Amino acid sequence: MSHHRSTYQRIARRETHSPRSVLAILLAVLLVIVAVWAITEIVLAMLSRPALLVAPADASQSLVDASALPVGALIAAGIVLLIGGLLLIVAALTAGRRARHVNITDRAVTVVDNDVIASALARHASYAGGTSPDNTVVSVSHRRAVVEVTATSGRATPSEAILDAVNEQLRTYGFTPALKGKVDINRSKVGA
Amino acid sequence: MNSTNRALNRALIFLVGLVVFVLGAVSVALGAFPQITSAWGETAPAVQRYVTDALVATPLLSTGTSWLWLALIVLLAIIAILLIAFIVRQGHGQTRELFRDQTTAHGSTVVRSAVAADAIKDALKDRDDLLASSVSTYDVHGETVLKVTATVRRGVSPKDIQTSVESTLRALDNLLGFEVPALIQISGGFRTRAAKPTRLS
Repeated sequence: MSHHRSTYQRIARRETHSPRSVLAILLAVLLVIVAVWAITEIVLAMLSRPALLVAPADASQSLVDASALPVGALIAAGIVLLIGGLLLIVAALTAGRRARHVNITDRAVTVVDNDVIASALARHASYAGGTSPDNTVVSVSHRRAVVEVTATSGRATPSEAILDAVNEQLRTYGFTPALKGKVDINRSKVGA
Repeated sequence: MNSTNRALNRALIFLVGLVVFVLGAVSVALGAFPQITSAWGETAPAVQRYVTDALVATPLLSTGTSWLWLALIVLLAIIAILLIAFIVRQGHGQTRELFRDQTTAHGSTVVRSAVAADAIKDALKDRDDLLASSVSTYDVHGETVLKVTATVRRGVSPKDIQTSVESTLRALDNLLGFEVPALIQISGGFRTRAAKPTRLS
């Protein structure tokens, strides 16, 4: 029913994109550990007890002396931090697409893993081409379904028929984004 | 499907990334530009002296430490608690109720999610193209949504599964008298083939 349309679109979007939960939880756990450690060090320093790792006073002193560190070490550490920070920023801003395709009907929103699509296509392709399913490899990406068939020696492998079968299947699936079929016949390997 | 605040996830990652990036930039600048190195050497001791003075000027009663340390501890504790709350909040949103009718003079009607889950699972259990199926219920922006997860065998057409689950859902609609929006998730869970196919000669 059309009044569920916006709910379905929201679900479809959320199911096909990564929530980035693992990374966020990992960072949060690290920050909590650092915060608890810092609290412990401050309390120990207030009680004039020996520090766990570094006392606050020593930490601030080494920060002041940072400019006296060897140039190579500073630049190397800086580059590592720059790359790490950049990777996190990229992870925060990119879509994080999952290997899934979506089909919204009036009754439900269906989310299918790409490997399910690939294995279904492989079955149809091998049936249409008269080849062994073991010699049919399908890889499904965001917009393409590439069928790689290793031809059976001494037998013609009809790539047109395979492509038709694959495209026919893809049409019935009706996924967004639409998948485009492609067939590669591998004739170089002997013995299949 | 769950109610994880994804914008918050990304905001945290972005913030941490930005801080790490800036730290890296400062470190590189300290190493690569002599002017910045000397400026750091001149400014940093002054800043340290300023902080030390501030700590001395804010004694905590007569304990010999500063209440600024205490304030810092409280700040760090608040940050830690917020982060733990952030971690715990991930992945929620499941409900146990499929439907709740407004109370009338005769009482109210509640339909448990288990009704739908049992009905759908029962309809799907005899299919031999499904390895497993599970049904759960989520609250998506105030709307109850069914999630039907199906693990299929190798080579099974996802369209067949979709069509049959949808007809099961329509049967459920007839049973309940109302339509619950649904998500059908079809996954493979295929075991990777460890050995090459045996060749008989």
